[in-house]
Amino acid sequence: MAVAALTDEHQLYVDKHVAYIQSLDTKKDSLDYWLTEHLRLSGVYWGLTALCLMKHPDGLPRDATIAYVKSCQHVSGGFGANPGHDAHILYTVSAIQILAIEDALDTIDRDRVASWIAGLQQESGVFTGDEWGETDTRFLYGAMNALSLLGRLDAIDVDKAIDYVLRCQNHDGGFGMAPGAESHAGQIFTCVGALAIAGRLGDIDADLLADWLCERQLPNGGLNGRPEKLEDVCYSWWVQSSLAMLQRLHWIDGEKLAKFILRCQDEEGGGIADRPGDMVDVFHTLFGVAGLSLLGYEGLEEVDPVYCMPRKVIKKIVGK
Amino acid sequence: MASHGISRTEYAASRSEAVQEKERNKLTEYLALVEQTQQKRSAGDYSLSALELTSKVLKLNPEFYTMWNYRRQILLRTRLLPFTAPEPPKDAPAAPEGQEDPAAVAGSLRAAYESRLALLLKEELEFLIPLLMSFPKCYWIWNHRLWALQQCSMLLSPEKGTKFWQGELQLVGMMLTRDMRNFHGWMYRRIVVSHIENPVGGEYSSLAKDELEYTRRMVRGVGGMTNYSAWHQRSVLIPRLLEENGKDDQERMDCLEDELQLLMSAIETDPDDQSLWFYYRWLVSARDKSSIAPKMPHLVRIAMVTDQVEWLKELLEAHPDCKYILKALVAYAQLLQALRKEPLNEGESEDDVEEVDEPAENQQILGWLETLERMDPMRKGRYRDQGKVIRANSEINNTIFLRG
Ligand SMILES: [Zn+2]
Repeated sequence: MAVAALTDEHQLYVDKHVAYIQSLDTKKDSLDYWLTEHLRLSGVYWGLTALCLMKHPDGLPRDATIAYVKSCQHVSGGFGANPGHDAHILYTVSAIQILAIEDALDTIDRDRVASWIAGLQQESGVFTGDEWGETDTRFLYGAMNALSLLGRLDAIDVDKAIDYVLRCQNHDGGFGMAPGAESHAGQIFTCVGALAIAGRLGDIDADLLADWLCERQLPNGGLNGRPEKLEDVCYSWWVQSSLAMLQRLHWIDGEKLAKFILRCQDEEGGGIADRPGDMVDVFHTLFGVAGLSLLGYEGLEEVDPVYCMPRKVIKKIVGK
Repeated sequence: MASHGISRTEYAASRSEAVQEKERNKLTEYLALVEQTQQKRSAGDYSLSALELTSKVLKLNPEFYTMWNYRRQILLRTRLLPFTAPEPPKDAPAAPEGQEDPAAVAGSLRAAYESRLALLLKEELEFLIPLLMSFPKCYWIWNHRLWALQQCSMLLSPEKGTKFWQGELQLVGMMLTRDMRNFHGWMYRRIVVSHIENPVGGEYSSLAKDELEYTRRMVRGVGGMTNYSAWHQRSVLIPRLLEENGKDDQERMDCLEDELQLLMSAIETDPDDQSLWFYYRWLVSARDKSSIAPKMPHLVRIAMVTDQVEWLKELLEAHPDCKYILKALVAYAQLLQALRKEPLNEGESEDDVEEVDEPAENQQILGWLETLERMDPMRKGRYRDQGKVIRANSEINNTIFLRG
């Protein structure tokens, strides 16, 4: 479903977005830069992936990026958000994703990372984020994402993990952060992603879940993350990528969604916001660009809906 | 780096020179504070003055998860040490007349320890309240609060520990009043309830009934019907409560009937509220073991779904533009077709299953789907897929019929 033939007012300002992403690391005199230090490594993943999808894979300096990622690693094998920050699964996944995109997974000790991640799996099959014990289906997906990129899914009990995911499914077909928790598009993305990585999508009722997902689209074209909530570019991605994994992306109006995402751009300063007219950030910039790529927007690199990474990287590493 | 709902124009307008100057000062202060704290952390300083520094950093930036970790490491080494009874001296002679017996001394030391610790834990929980009010969607704060409460369970007597958990119900009740869809709040509520239900060293006592009553008040409150979170919670609690109370099949069917009545009247009030329709779908079509009445006799189920289809047809006459009614009609007309083809329960008679003209019924369903495509064009791909399945199935049936 290629989204082409869009008019001037519906164009993607690639050059502006590239410049915006490249400028992020030069804002060290801003308070916001430092108040988001706890996200830095994920920020690099968001920026780098967006650049790749916009066909600027060399938009960040490769050697410096790899060196920075490695500077976030702990002896344990896990990665923190920035040097001086504790290891956590969220940043470990970002680190592995960046290294995979840069084709630099061989520069780290894969086994050490894999065994750190494997150590987070609990008896129930779920994963904690770190040694402090918080559990969430986001962490479970992160573990499976990173381990599959490392070629080390065998380090964990995949069946147990999937049993846990299935226990998180609700009456509406959706998934929550834990058994009994309300369905939420972000958690659905992680659970469907985990099922996809494990090759277990056949275990769920795709029609039921996809019906809930397609009802997320609002008249303005954007998608919300739960019933009766506002539309948002990041939720749009989680919903549409889940629909794509379920082979039902055509259950929503792609052209309307593409127009909504394009309206969220800052045409002058570059970057994409959660909603039209709001402040942009690199997180929504990635999910906006990835959303357009999934919709077949002209001139973009193809995105993989399971990993939110360039499709060709996944094909090469995971082989499917 | 990930912001929500901040307007670009309002932000630009707020960037006066004075504001920027203030921000520069704040930045200098913040960086100095973080550096000082990080230095102590790398030096392995677990003192109360370091704890104070983490308080300052976290008030400015509660997303700084490493600071929460550091804070917990300090607390575990200072304020939250476990109780250790004083070792009685070896070969101690029996307490002479007029002196306290060592067991009594240890007991009162333990009591003093618990009172002091309860105060310290309360202080920790109070530190978090203003942070939760300002940042109700920050995972790390909720997370730290749960950790502190777990310490209550581990370090205090069961009664004292449970009191702390009970106090949390009030807090989370207030948070959910402020934002009745905050999913952190709902998640937290489920965890708190489960701790109260399963006290350390105590017996399980269910709160499912009270919690169900809580959701009932929620959905009946102003704007409550659209509260998808509360309906979701009902779908979790009702089956649990039925199970715990050992309800038989008839009682389960009565329960389903009551819940259906509640939903039907809510839908009649506002048929465009999609929250209601998802929950209604579960009531009508779920048959798995976590549904309300999984063992409903087959003919009774057919009668129930038939009644719902009739009710929906009437509702459609009053609200011809409501797509949810049409979607439900498509779903339950198909459910009925499937039910009629399934084997009956023992003692039920084939004669009681109404004969229907399925091809005609299918034409009606296809008609509804065409209307839906026009009414709800954003999701036309979904309706077309449904139509394709019906056409393919009836083609297969025709082929079998012709061959037969
Ligand atoms: Zn967002």
